[in-house]
Amino acid sequence: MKFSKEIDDNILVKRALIEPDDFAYLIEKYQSKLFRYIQRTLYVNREDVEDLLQEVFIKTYRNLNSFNSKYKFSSWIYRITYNTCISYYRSRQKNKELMTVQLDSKDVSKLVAEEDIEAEAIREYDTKAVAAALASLAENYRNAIVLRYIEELDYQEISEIMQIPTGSVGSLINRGKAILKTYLEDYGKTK
Amino acid sequence: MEKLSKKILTQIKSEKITPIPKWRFLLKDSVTYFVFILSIFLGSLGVAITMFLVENNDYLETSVYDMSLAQAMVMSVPLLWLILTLFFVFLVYYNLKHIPDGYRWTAAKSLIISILISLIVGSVLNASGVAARLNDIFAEHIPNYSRVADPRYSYWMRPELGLIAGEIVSTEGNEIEVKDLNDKLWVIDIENARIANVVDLVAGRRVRISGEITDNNVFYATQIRPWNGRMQNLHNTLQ
Repeated sequence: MKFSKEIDDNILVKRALIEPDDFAYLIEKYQSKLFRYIQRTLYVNREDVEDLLQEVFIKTYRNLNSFNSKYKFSSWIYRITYNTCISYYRSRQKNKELMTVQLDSKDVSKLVAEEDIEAEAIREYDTKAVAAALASLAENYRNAIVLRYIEELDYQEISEIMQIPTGSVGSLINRGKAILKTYLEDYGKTK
Repeated sequence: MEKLSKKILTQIKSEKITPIPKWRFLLKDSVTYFVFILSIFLGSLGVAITMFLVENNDYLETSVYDMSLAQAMVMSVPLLWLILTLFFVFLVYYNLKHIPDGYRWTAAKSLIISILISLIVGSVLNASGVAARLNDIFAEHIPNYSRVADPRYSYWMRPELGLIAGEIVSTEGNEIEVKDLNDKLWVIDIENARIANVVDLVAGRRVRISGEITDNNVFYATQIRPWNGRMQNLHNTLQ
């Protein structure tokens, strides 16, 4: 089978269950997205992201039979990634390691545009400030914001990934935005 | 990054990793649903027996003896079953959140659903007489069950206040012999007692007796009523 990104995920799952080598199509389809997601959620170096990604894909492969085709495969694999990141984050929190996130200027402009923060100065914030602001958020706020504004997923998908009601997704995003806004405004004043 | 798929496939092959069989996920889901249904049954059972014990309580008629209506009402609460019910309803809530798609409901909605399910099924179990039967079964097979679970036991074990309940052992003329809830034998003088129509003064019948102690082990009865309250008599009649 020649790989095409247009092939339906359900078909790719069925093929991977028959022929393990075909699992490569799913890996290739999702590795870049998930790599970026892990990078934006956790402050880890490239090697660590790859290790986490490898763990995610092995978990995905082991649990392929639990995938329910009535849902989106993308939400399902994001959920596995989300849970893996949470476990990693918590193990690091236990060790009191400093947390920050990695963002590029494109991410920052997406986030700031969606932030609806009126201060004109916000648009001049550097990547580091926004990344630090995001890192200062509690993990559930940060994840909801990253999934919504950087990964550009809808509430339904975020609800499936985080396993919380869609209403709670909205609350997390709104509260997270408010905290982020305060942080950035304070940063603007001190700059 | 391109190497990642190769790396993963190599790991899958070298470590002989295989997808977990579908039946294990189906089994896990089935167990989750089973535990959820079991918790609904337990929650409903708790509600049903609590309702039954409250309905069969005589705090309204007995409150005149030695306490206010409010005190009697508090005393009539079947605390053990109330605590068990709250615990079971929490189990319903917890399991509801853990069934597939259960996360879609908010905590408040899940809690309301759990309470409503337990109340509805519990009312049906109580109305159909299941609660009464189960309460009897528990009383028969669990030592000290009634003493702990049924608030009427503590209420009717106070001969010094003129309240006795127990089982008729024998009858002779104007006297009956009753073994009270503490297994103490009493000779009851029933000559001037008002005896409820539904009470048959025969051995084995459980009764509640109001009156006063006249001598050691001798009790002068003013009123004799069946142990089972009106609601249970209604259940028995319906059956």
